Amino acid sequence: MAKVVVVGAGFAGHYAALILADALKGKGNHEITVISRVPKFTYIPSLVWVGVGQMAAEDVQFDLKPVYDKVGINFVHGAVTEVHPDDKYVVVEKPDGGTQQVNYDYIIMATGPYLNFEGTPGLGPDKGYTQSICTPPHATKAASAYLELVSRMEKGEKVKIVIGTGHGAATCQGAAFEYISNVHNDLVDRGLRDRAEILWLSNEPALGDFGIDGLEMKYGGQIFTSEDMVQFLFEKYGIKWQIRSHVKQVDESKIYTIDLDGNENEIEYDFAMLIPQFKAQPIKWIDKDGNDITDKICNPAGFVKVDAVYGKPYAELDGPDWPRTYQNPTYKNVFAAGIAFAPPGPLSKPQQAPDGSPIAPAPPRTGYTAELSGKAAALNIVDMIEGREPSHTASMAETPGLCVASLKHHLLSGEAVTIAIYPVARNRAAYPEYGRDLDNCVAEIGLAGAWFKWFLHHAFLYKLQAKPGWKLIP
Amino acid sequence: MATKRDMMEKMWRYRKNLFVQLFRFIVLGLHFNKLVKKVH
Repeated sequence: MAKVVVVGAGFAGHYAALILADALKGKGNHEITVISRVPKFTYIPSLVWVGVGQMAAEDVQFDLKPVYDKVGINFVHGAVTEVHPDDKYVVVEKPDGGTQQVNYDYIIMATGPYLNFEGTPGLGPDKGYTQSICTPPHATKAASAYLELVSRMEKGEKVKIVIGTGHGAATCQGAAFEYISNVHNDLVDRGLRDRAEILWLSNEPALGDFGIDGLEMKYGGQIFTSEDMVQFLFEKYGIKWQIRSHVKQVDESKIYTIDLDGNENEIEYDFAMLIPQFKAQPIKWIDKDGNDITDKICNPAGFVKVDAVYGKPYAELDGPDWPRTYQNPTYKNVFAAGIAFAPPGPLSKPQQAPDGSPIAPAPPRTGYTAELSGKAAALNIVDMIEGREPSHTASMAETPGLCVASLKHHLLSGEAVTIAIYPVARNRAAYPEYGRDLDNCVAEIGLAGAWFKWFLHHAFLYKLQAKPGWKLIP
Repeated sequence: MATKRDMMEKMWRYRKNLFVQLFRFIVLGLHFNKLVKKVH
């Protein structure tokens, strides 16, 4: 009998647990336990609609325990604070303040990110002045602040809105891009757009970079870039932009930035939604002698090292350097998936401002990519339980990125950018010219995307609740 | 030959045309399916 523990219940962790339960069903008395800080699964891609008050937080979440009871998975509500890889147990801090030890034979770390608002003074909805759409409570709070702003605009006030990234090393530019577009379209529908000046503020080296070094696609014999498309869209929407920027500080009326050329700027705002830097959850790794070996197991940001090639400079990094099995090289029974695995480097070119501030978008490892890494880790554990070497791979340099960026949520008048890239991480060993197979790269704006976004919302929430036929949905 | 700007303007013009979008939904759906099958 094997004990498998999954830490985290987002796209990577929750899907990994379902895959494990399915793959090990009827193959012995194996025990699967999920440990999560939050007792609910959140379909994060729809939080953008919660943030503009068009959807309730409950509509993007479901309780994990009933799903796990149904498929025979144990659930522990709490935050893992320590991993003891030699003695094979984790320490869980429970919501009531108590602690619990959970033993394992195999473990998947899929903790998701720690939202490092502290990395930018004045950032964030709890101790700062800006909004966030990274969690259901944050998105709900952002909606309240946004609707309050709308009521001020209805009284005739002109306002300044800033949306984007709140740190030079932030990621998830795509979520902020969706939010700024939905805010624009919501204000258009309310007849208030002329009362708002909207600014896109981002750490991207170019518009449309999205932390993945942008994308190219072929149309009519020409090569289009995501930069062409986002610039076109922002011009249509009347959205201004300031990119290549790090946010140094925020106070109640201004955002202080520095860009790659050293230009410092003070941006006045009435409403700001800025994505923070993502760091790893604060988890200590302790060896059998009680020594803290976190530095050995994790990278400096705290993400768990897996089977990637680490230490190469950006210019030399290529597809084969990206992890395939998600297995830790030191402890072979440890896997990491989703945001929790340490990437070999960034996808976008890392740079810094003259004062040393990093302006280097971190690589996104969310959504479909997270799910694929979770699935690979789960199936590799099944391989090991059954006496085989890990054989399942899901390298970001060999798998597609599928993304639908909502611009407006409506089944008849909505619009979205439908994006498909193959592979996510440029792989010049396989595709020398662009690092990607341009015949498989697509990005287009239209109502069809809004239908996709709506369909994916319902399909994923159905699949991840393990409802009848869930395995048929990829 | 149409410029990139012309082509994007065309995409913009048809972005809410129900017939065009229904067609694009099918085409893009098949494309997504093709890419998903590469990994599953």
